[in-house]
Amino acid sequence: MPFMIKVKPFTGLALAFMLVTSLLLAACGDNTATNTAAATTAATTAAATTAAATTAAATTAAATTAAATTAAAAATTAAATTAAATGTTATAAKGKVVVGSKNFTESILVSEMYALALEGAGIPVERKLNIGTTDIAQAAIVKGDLSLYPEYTGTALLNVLKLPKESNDSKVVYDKVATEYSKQFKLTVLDPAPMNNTNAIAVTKEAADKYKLKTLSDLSTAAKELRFAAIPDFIGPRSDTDGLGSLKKTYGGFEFKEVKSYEIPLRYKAVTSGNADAVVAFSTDGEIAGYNLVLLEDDKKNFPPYQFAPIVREDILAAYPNIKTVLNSVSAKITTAKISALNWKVDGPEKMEAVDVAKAFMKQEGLIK
Amino acid sequence: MDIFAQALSYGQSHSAEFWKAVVEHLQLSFFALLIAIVVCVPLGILTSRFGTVARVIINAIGIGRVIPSIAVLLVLLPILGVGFAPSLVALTVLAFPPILINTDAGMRAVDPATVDAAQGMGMTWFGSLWEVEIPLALPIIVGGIRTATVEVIASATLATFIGGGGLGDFITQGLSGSSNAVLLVGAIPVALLAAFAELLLSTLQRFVSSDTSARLKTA
Amino acid sequence: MNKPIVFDNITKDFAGTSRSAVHGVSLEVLEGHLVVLLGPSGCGKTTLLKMVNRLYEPTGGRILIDGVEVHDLKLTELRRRIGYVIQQVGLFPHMRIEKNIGVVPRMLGWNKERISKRVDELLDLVGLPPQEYRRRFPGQLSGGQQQRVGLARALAADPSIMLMDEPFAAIDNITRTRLQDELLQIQQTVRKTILFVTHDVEEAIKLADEIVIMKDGEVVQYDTPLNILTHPANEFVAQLTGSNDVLRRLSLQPVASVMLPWSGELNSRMSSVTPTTDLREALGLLLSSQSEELAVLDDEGMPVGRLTLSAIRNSTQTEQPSVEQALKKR
Repeated sequence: MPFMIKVKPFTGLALAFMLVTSLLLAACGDNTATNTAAATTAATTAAATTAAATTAAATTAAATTAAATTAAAAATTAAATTAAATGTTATAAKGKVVVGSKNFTESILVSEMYALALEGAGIPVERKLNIGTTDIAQAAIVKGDLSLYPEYTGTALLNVLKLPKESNDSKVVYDKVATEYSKQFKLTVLDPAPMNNTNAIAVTKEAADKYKLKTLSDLSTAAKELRFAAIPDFIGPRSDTDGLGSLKKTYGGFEFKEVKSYEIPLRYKAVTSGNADAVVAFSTDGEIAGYNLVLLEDDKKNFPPYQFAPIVREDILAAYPNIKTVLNSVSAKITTAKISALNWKVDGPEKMEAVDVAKAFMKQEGLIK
Repeated sequence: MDIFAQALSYGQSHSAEFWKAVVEHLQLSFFALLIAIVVCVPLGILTSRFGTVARVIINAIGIGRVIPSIAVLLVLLPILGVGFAPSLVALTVLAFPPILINTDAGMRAVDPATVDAAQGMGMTWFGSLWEVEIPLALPIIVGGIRTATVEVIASATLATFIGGGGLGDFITQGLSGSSNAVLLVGAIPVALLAAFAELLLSTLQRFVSSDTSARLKTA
Repeated sequence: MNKPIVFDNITKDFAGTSRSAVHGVSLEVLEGHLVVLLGPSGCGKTTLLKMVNRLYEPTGGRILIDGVEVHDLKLTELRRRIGYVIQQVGLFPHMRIEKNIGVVPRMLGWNKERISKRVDELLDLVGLPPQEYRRRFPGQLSGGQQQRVGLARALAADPSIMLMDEPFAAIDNITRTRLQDELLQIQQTVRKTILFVTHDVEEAIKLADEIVIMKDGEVVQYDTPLNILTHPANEFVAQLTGSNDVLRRLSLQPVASVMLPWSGELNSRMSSVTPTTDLREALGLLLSSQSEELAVLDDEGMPVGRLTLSAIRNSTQTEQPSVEQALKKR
């Protein structure tokens, strides 16, 4: 029946779809061709954004991803601000010491250790754990909402102080951070723990065996055969200071066959499900041992040290001078191996509560009774 | 204005990654919509023919609306793992409800007298469907596709969580690096793509409606 | 005479209802006749109609179209050779008038020129100038114009049988009367076998060659309009059709049936009628004239009879009007 074929809008629609499909399929096969034109068009696109960005549409689109994070952050900030008043008053009246932590397991574990130690020494403690990102914790402690919280020396240098990386020697970094924190924020940085939770790369046992990988130097050349599971921070704007960009500068090579971005908690899934051979790791991640991965040695000291050190408000330290000895004795016990094991108890299959894990550790180390 | 200049220069210095992300974003969105259309338009036509069975199917799929895509991603993680496939599935699931619901509603909105006439004149089941009912339902069906498209383009930013790529890569990088400029390198093109798709499909919707509604001007 | 449509003991039960919608109906429709199915709503008239083109399938019995049982014909072929007009018209709103009319011819594989020529013919037939209307969309037409197109569309492939399901029910009075007149006119040229469903008694009497009166799924009476008015089968028919309405009956009788032989000479004050004028009109004329009688003149103006008040009065009491004469009323 000839009439059935001749419905205009329908045929048009179908043809349009087929056209777009074939274009997209062509694009999959040949990215390089697109890239040549890319630079020029990129300029045009971005130029057009000036007007567009003000539209509500921009917000809507970004919101999908950003929503959770932003909303959470906003909520925490709000909470922090509200609590700020109370905190300041408490401090002035020599009240409780407010112990904070950032929003991930290791920070919560260490903060809880601090809190337990201080309580053991008879200092009144209030916990504000899991309050958010570095920016939020830093703002809170400067305001007086927090009395102290653990921060990585590397983070303090690169993210808070935003200073250039001059040396990756842990002593140099610590001294620089301690001096600048005191000068800029009136915050004391107590002794760092021996642990180092730096950026690192772990590879699967199979990849390590096949390409004989022990160090990042080994990986730099083997990278072109391997698929890499990254996290946004590692390939984003800070890539050149503390990510893939810096590795390329220090080691050369590191042109992975494929680079995919994952949310931090999901990146190990990429390796365990066989979608990647190498993964961005933090050197204290329990998953490294847990999933039988091989952590490669940073033989050219590319990554700055990330040692936890208690950041304490000077006024609090003046009110409770023994905080220093109490916390230094805790820090001394926290090695990379130990904190990795503790992380795994929380994040691994046992799924224990961070607070319970911290308490058990403190007892085991004889730091509390 | 400064931030846009920064975004522009970041985009230019990362043009290879940028265009790769755009292509990935379009692939994800396009194939999700294609699958959703191929599945849901026939399904919607089918459900429009049945009463209670239809309500059950539509409500079941409508639940897809209230489950956030990120939850779908995480639920699928143990089954489909990470990467392109689960991202595609999550987006397809997202595109199902508007297309199914609109197809069903569009088919039901066709005047029964028109269908009666078509059958009474001796059109085949398929002829009536293809030449009369679908063209009449098309404006509403396209409306559903339009809603789905905008939702899918916006939500394809979530694929980055599980290594699915797309423009969400820049958004998460911007967030983690506290750089709004980098975030905009992802967010602005997503907004533009969504706006462009909206424009394209609303034009298509007007085009397919024009034959249906009474035209007041004499042809 | 051929009987293009034959119902043989047709029954239709719908699932979930205890009473049959149509019960044991047997009817024969004569070729070229317009047969009206008349009855209150729910009497089964539309159900009966829709079984002819198998929009409904009968539960029992047979329907024969031109001697062939409808069930033995391919569904689409059966429908394509039967014109179908419904109350809601059911034009396809997304197609221009020319395309709407051409639907069945296209399905039958006619070529473009033939269809185009046919569309012009049909639009002329239903009184819509093709140049003006071909390219319009249904939404640009009034209800009456739409139903003219509906009729044209049903006639497109020149089917010998037409089914019309209350086609004028949704149209205003003035337009309806005009459409009825036009249908009669068209029917005189095309001579289709038409089954026409209505619940409007006036419409039935005006249009029908024969009327089928239905009640509760059964045929109560099947006869000419005049016989139904003059010999209602029972009280139901009498009430439904208003048989005791004298004026209605008079309107169905021609002057010729009661006129007296011509006797005197033409009086200048006498009004005149023709033998085919109906008695209702003649009565009005007689009452308003100053004369005791009317002259009945033939086409050439020659007197052929006279009509008096008593002659008309007699006709309302006699029950012997000639059916053949009554059918000549048009």
